[in-house]
Amino acid sequence: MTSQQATAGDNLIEIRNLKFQRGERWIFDGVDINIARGKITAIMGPSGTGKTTLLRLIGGQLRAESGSIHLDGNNIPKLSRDELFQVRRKMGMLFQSGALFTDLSVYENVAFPLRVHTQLPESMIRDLVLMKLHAVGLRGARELMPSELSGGMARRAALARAIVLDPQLIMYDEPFVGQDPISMGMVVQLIRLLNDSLGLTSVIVSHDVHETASIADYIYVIADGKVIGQGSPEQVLNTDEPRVRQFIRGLPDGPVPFQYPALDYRQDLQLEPL
Amino acid sequence: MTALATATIEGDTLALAGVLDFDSVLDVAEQGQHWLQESAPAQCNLDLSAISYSSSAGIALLLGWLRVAKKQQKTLHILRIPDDMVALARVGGLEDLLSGA
Repeated sequence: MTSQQATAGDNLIEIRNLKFQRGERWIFDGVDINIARGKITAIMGPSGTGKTTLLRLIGGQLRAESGSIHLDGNNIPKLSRDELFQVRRKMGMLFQSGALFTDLSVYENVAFPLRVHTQLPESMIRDLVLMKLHAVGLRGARELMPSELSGGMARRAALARAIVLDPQLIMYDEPFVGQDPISMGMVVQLIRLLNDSLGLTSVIVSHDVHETASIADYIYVIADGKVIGQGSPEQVLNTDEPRVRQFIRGLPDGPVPFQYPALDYRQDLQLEPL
Repeated sequence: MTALATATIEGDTLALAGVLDFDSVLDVAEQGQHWLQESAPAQCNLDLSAISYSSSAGIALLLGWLRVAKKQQKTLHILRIPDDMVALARVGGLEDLLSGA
């Protein structure tokens, strides 16, 4: 009951004091994040700051060393395999690569989650696939194979697959990467439409400042394992916090160092003793 | 635990109640199909006012019944469709189809 009460309010997800380590390096060192129900929340930060790792922790593919990730009352790191399987039905995930099955047509890619998770007859599967493909503008492309799609079409086909089970939560991993301006505009519009029409909760992980700021309701900026800034897009774009400003303005060096942590250079070159 | 959907037939109207999720649509699909094929009059109604939640599978259920009705040369009027079902239908480009049915 306590865990239910913890997320009974306006947040679909509450992350508290999250710690996750890879090798010697702390990817997250005490991170607190709220994902508001029905809103688009962006997690931003330089490449390599663990944004995709965060999505994997929420999805339960990775387990945190400590801290909690409550999704609608379920503490993800503590769930059994079976419980996690049930909770994952409520989550849609759009990977950076699209991750379509290359040997299946667009139609069969979108039908796949329905075949795995439901007992629906073929006629209902067909209706659902056509509805979702229509939503992303690809109903006419359903017989195509992934190799025949442009990058933008592949992303939209993957989006249709991600929403086919009506998830409560959809997580987008770098949705704007590698898109031309037209398909980027389509993706932005689709994310907003799906969020608002279907009452979805959306999480976008991105380092594209302007597209993300144009669509997000709330932004977290992560660096060095911590949340270094948060607020509405206006607040984050206009912040005085030096590290957030460096990221937003795309300056190569600043409080967030250009160099990945390393030995002293002279020592590394063995010009000086260790 | 699976939520339940129920269908009640009274005269020319089939009333659906409960939750239409990806499992529970199967509880009522055949019952409605059978009614449309056998005893439903040429002008019949589907009342959705007691649906508390519908997934996209609920829209697929309606499409299936509309196809059966058409095949039987019957007209199935969809009544009191909840707003969130309209929103789902709209995203799939089916708003007109369902409201004009």
